[in-house]
Amino acid sequence: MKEYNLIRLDNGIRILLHYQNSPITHTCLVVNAGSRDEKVGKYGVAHFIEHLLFKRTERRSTNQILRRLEQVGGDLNAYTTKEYTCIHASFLNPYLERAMDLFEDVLFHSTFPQNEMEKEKGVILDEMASYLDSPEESIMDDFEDLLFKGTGLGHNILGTEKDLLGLQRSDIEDFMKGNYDTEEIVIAIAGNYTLAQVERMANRIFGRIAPNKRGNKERLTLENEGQHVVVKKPINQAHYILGIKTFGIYDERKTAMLLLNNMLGGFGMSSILNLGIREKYGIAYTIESNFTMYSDIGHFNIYLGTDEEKLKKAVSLVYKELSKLRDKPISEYHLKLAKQKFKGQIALAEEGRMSMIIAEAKNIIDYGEVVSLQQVFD
Amino acid sequence: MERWYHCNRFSIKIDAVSSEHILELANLFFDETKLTSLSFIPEK
Repeated sequence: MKEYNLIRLDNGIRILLHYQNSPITHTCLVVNAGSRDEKVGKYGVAHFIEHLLFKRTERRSTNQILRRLEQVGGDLNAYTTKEYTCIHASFLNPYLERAMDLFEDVLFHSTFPQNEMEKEKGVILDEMASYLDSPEESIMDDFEDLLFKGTGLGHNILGTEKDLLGLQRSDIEDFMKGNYDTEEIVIAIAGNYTLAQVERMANRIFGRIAPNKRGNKERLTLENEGQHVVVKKPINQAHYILGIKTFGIYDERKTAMLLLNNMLGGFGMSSILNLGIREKYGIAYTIESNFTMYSDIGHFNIYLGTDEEKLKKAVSLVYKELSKLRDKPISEYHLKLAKQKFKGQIALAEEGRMSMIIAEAKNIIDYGEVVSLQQVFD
Repeated sequence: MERWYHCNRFSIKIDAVSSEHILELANLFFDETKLTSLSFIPEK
């Protein structure tokens, strides 16, 4: 039995089977369309669709959709990013066909009733409000807005209140028609199935979907002009983010950048920033770095939260650490330790099988193949 | 914040990364004149 099998239907939809000897199945459907594909004036439509997928279809009510997997103990959910939309589910093995049938129904046969649309706008407005109460989260998105201003990446996934309230069913249909390319839809399954079983099921359920092509995607170029923005807010501590645009997922330097990010402010308490600032000076409850890659571009940033009086000192210490990395190569010993730590963290992350299968679906969209953990290490 | 490292598959092996690679990237992306910052400060 091969570990990975990829099936391609005539309409372009691909199905990845990752064989796993487990009584539980994790599965997802990823569409290569997200908030960066939205037109000006329609911000929030990708996320709005994701909410509405569970509302009503031609043959199911909201309750029937929500109960379909829950009544067998399964879990169904979805989310939207700037570049893709994902529906995912986990359940006991006998229910794969039930889940696939539900995915097909909600993605291709949702009816988007007006009353449900209006109700869901209220839910999303609440989501926006709760988000504004979390400055440590909203500063991340506001920073992306600043870096990528005027592009598809420069607006929040939730959209704006004005655009959201104005969305109509025709906007949803336009977005799906213009962006849900069947060549860029991947269903990934991690479970105990034979290729023949999955092939038969996929053809029966997804084979009848008509092919759809999307238009050209936005491509951004890497240019950086430093700017410094201060915003006053009704908050108790200062939040600060410092960063820069970088290359995206196809650049061969990304492994080195991921390692650098991990050393500087990655997972755990032993990063350069955490040891050099929080532990040494008792400044900043949270200090971390992040490296985000999109298909054409990316960004690197350092985030910290601290008392306003300590902010200046914290920022100067951050610059000092960056300067050290710029001025002198790290020792072979420290590089070896950094690789060891990073590899261990990657291996542990594979234990989350749902996130693993979603990442593998994204691999198929981005690279046309799955890169296994062994290939990364060997 | 959950970090899905495996969302970022690798174009070259981790073991192939050298200290020169790291130095080159630090010089490319940690240039003080090109960095952008955003601060949220408490209202008085």
